[in-house]
Amino acid sequence: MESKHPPRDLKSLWRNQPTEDRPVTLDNIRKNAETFQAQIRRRNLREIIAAGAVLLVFGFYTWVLPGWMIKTGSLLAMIGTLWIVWQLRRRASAGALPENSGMALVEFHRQELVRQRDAAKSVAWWYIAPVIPGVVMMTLGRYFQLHAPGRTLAWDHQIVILCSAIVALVFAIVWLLNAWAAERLQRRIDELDKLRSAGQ
Amino acid sequence: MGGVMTVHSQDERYKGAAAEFGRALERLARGYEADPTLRSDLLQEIHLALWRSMASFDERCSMRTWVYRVAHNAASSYAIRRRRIHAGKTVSLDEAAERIADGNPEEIATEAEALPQLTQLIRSLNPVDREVILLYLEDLDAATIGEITGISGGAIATRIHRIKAILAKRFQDEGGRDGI
Repeated sequence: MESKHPPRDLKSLWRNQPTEDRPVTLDNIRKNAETFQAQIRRRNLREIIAAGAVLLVFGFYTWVLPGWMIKTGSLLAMIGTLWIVWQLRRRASAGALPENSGMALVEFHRQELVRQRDAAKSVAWWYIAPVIPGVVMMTLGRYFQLHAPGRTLAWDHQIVILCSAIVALVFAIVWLLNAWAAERLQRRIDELDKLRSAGQ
Repeated sequence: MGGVMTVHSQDERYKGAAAEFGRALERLARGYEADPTLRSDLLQEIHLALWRSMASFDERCSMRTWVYRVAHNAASSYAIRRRRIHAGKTVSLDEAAERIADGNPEEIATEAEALPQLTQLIRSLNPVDREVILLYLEDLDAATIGEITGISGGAIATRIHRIKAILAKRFQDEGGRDGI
């Protein structure tokens, strides 16, 4: 449909739009920098507290639950938790202000996508695998060494098998979703590479 | 060039850049965030990134290129965080053009009506296209947009061509008539 109205210059319209003229002073910026650092410290503290809670629970299991298998499983779970927390800290950049902020924009996007792709691609070994030895050992301990009172042994074993299957399914779904995410991210990285290298 | 920059010269460089590009940065923030309070936070974040970046500015590119790179990258990081909270779908220039072609847009009679719709269009675009259209609207030439974005000359020309077509069709824009 043809417009009846006169053409306009959108560049001028955009550049001459009224702005709010919010003053940003150096004092404000320094305060924001301090606030930002405080946010990072709080985030780190939350992670430490969460990891501490997990360690406490599994430490308690190691102490009170019977059977060497469950005790070993709890210890392995603690080690796995520490590994995951370390990996999360190493990989965490979400929420961070960009460090290489003077990079060309496409390069910056690419760097972020590559980081996300690598995290998604490797989720099996840094997020799932560290938990598996502990879970397997605790499940074996539960199957062979610890039985719930008031149930027949066969019924108890069936419950353990069912729970194990559910846990395995959850792990598989997490792995699959991340593998798909990695593929999607790779497609976006390829698109950016095309933009950098040649005309479209 | 190079060397350790003093806090004083970092502050001075920031002040100079903020004075020269402050309004452009505000417009940039508008292109990313609709909510006025959050937009104010984003603007503060952009200024913080700019101030921090001045410690590593080595004059290998112009101050203008540096400021736009830092500001867009800060805004882009912000947009990534926001999308994690409020997943919103963005579209490419081609998809935006198709929507306009398929739809039956109402007449945009006044500039007061055109500006919000233009801003909405900008926010709906995917990150790279949003950056290019914002730089185009700031009246930067193709070579400068290419330098800021890192997109090759051919791809920039294609994108600007699409942007002009969309703006002309949707808003009867004639700003890009003479090319950039």
